Amino acid sequence: MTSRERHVTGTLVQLADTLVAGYDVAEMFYYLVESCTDVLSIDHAGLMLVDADGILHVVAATSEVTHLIELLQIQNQEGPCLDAFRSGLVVESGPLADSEVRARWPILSEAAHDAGFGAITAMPMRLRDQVLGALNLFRVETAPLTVDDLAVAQAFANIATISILQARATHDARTVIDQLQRALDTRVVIEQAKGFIAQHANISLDESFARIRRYARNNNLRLSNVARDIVANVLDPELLIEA
Amino acid sequence: MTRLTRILGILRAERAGETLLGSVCRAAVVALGTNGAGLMLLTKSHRGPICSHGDFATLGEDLQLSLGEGPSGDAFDTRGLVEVTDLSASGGERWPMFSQAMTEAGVISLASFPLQIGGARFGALTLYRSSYGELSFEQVADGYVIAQIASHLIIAGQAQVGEDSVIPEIEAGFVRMEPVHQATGMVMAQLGIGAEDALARLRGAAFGSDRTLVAMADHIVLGGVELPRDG
Repeated sequence: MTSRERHVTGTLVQLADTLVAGYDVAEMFYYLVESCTDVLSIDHAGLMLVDADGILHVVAATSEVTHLIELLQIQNQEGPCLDAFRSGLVVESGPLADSEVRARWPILSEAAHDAGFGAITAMPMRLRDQVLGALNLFRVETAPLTVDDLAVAQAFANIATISILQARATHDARTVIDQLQRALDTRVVIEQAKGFIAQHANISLDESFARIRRYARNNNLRLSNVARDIVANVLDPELLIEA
Repeated sequence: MTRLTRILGILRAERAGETLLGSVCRAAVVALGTNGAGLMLLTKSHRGPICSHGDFATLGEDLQLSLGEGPSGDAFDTRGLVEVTDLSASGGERWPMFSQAMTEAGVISLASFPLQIGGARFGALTLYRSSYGELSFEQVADGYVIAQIASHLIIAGQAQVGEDSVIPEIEAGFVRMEPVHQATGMVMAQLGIGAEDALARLRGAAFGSDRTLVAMADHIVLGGVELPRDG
């Protein structure tokens, strides 16, 4: 394995590792853009992602000026990154000083050229028909990215995309399971409280439940809170019996 | 055909009037060729059955719930596959009571896969077998896929019911365990102890009188039986 291959493989493994639970997505974004500049023959990289409302945000960039150029594209709704995001396809800018390029993205091409860049390649962050954003590779040189570099960049973008989707799914699953836990906790504690009062007052479970409900209603309390207080031994059961 | 497509096909074919989630155990038995399969929900406050199918599964799931020990809890805790290839030889140290009862019933090996999506975990799929040895690579891969399908069915279903509700398959399991929670409350009041200790006392009483936990709870709730004070 050449040192470059080792580097690429190492990066892929590192990105894939982020699929495992308990990693920081933001950290992965920085790792992704930095790996691109380390492994590919490019000078800077930036990553923009779309939020739930469809608005693009710059989430990582290897330099302040790259960050600003990314922002400029979002603000003016023009540039190779925007086109890659909209089309879901790789976009090669071509030399930024060319008149064709200037005509296509007037604001972006001038700003990027002034910042010293010769060309930009924008790679969509895409899984099937879902485009999450774009990975943008900035070069001082004007030559297009080599086929090899393109393939490596695509592999990085793909794995990062899966990581992001996985993180979102995990977040959703966690929320759902938290709700399930709460719903079950409440019901468990109500059943326990029914048993508790039934035993304490030597009454049936139905009668016990009726007393707990009545106490909650008369005191304007939530049934689950009354039940919780009963089993936590902070509510005198006699208060329910007398009621 | 991918593994996922094949297993989804089995799941659809094995669906006998039940919900998809209710058919997961049946599909697991068919796909992996094991004797039985059981699916259990595990949360902090509540553990309950979701489905079981084939030999040993109902008994195995009941025993795990009754004794509070077994492979499901370990798969949940370790977030990974728990496999015992000879229960009579190596299960005893981990789960003494469970292993003995299962061995007597004819179970020789078993495996539990956790139900989890990313960091959220909420149960286990357990496969029961009357033969020695490890599951093959194919069986392990199929087991993970079935556990994953079950996990997604639970999350997807639960995401659609209201915040205070639970999906029917979990609801049914909760109703079965209701007497246990009620009896726990009764033992708490009777002995002046906390919920965890009360449940442990119930488990001990169930084991001592050769009952399942639910039967012991029914005995207390319906029969007005009290546990002895000294335990």
